[in-house]
Amino acid sequence: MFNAIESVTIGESFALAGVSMSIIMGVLACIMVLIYLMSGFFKLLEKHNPALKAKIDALFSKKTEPTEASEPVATEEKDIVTARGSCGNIVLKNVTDREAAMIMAIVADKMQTPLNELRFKSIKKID
Amino acid sequence: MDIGQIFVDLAKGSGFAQLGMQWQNAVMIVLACFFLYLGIKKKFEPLLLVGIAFGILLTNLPQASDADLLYHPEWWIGQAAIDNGVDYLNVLQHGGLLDILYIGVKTGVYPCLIFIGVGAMTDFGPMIANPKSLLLGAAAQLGIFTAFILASLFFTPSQAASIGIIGGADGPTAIWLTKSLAPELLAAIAIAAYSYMALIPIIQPPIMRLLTTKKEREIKMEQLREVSKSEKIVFPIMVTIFCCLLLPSVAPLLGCLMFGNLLKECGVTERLSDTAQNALMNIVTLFLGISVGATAQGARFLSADTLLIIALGLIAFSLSTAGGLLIGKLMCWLTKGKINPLIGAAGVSAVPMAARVAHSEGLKANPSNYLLMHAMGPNVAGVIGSAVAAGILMAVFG
Repeated sequence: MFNAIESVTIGESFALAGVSMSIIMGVLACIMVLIYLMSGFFKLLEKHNPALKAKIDALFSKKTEPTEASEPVATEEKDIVTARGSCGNIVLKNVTDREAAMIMAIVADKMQTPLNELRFKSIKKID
Repeated sequence: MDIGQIFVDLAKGSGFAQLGMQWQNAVMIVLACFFLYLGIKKKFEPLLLVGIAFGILLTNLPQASDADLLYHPEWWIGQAAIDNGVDYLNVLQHGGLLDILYIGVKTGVYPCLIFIGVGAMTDFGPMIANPKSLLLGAAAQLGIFTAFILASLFFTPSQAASIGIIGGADGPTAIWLTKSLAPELLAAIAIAAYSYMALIPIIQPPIMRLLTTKKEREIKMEQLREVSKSEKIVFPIMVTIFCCLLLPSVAPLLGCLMFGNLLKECGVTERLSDTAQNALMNIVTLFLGISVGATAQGARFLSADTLLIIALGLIAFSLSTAGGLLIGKLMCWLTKGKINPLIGAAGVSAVPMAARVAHSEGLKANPSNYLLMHAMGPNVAGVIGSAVAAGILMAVFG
């Protein structure tokens, strides 16, 4: 750790500013290089060992995918079970009911999931 | 019992009897009402400005006796506190509400908690897809150090460093650094930082138009590649390890930012991510705003120093924007017109306001030019850059 600096001359201020800017540039440039290396590693992995890459991706995305998707569903039973009605509350911030309804319908359509199986907590308009 | 005397004492103890005693407090009450107007009516950073303004209001209204004070500035920035450190036992035993809340500011807990929330709300995807945007984020810290040089002509080095960090356009970072280096300037610096962040749509466009040609602003950028989940998970871990090994002083801010981002990206801590983005962020913002506002007591706040800080803050902010734009122009030239220099201006942190301003300026030049995702890269890089700048200043002056 440095000793606390009590006073600086204008020349020292310039020097300190220059050194600090260089350090910031250096640190962010190093992060840039690290990102290139990381991306290169994953690309290389995909190229030479696609099975391993798929395994790693599956490992990372395992928890985010719905587990039900892989389970076979008895079609007859599925036909019998009727969807539950929507319930719960949603917080709307600077959004009208009409806009919220449209947004929810679009999301449900894009996700190919019935609206009553989705849970919306809040919709907020970002200016 | 003398009923008449009770009424006289009540009248003497009322706030109305004390209102005329300090004109500075009256001015601060008017200023608080103006900030409330800006926050509520004009929607200038309302989540923080309303809290800060109400804190100013509370702390400048007359209070009955010393025991009932909400905030005791002398406990935090008085000579005894400077010489012997803050007496936290006394604060906890006898402090008012705002004294207790201010502990989070003084210890630097609130800015770090806010960074967890910011990390949980930030998508580093655009930056990972275009790593060169990190250089724009670095260049946009130029204003910090230019303002530092100017401020060191009028203030002590620690104060100058705290004033310079306004150019990072990052409120929590400014508070985190100032609470350690120049706590006596905290109110002025926090208010300047948040005010300029709110004024980005007014401050940045003229500088953008001044430093770029219409042809440059019209440049359309190639669509960014898709970033895999694995990259998004590895990134915060890798950056934390690298930066904390290189500059340990950045650990509190950068570590918290990356921790919040990991909660978002890892996919197994959705509840924690949700809490960090909403409940935690809201609670801390509430406490931070009101306790920072409370530090703006009239007698201390209304001074020539405050005006100077506000002026230097504007210079810092403008030069940071210019720094990002100039490196953007350089990269535009080096890549033979593949990079729109406007995205460099988004290198000042203020997420996502600065990226939106770059996007809207691009749209004005070319209605089919969508720069938002490209500008998000330098924008989040700016958050990392300002955290690193604060870490360096803390290491040098702390």
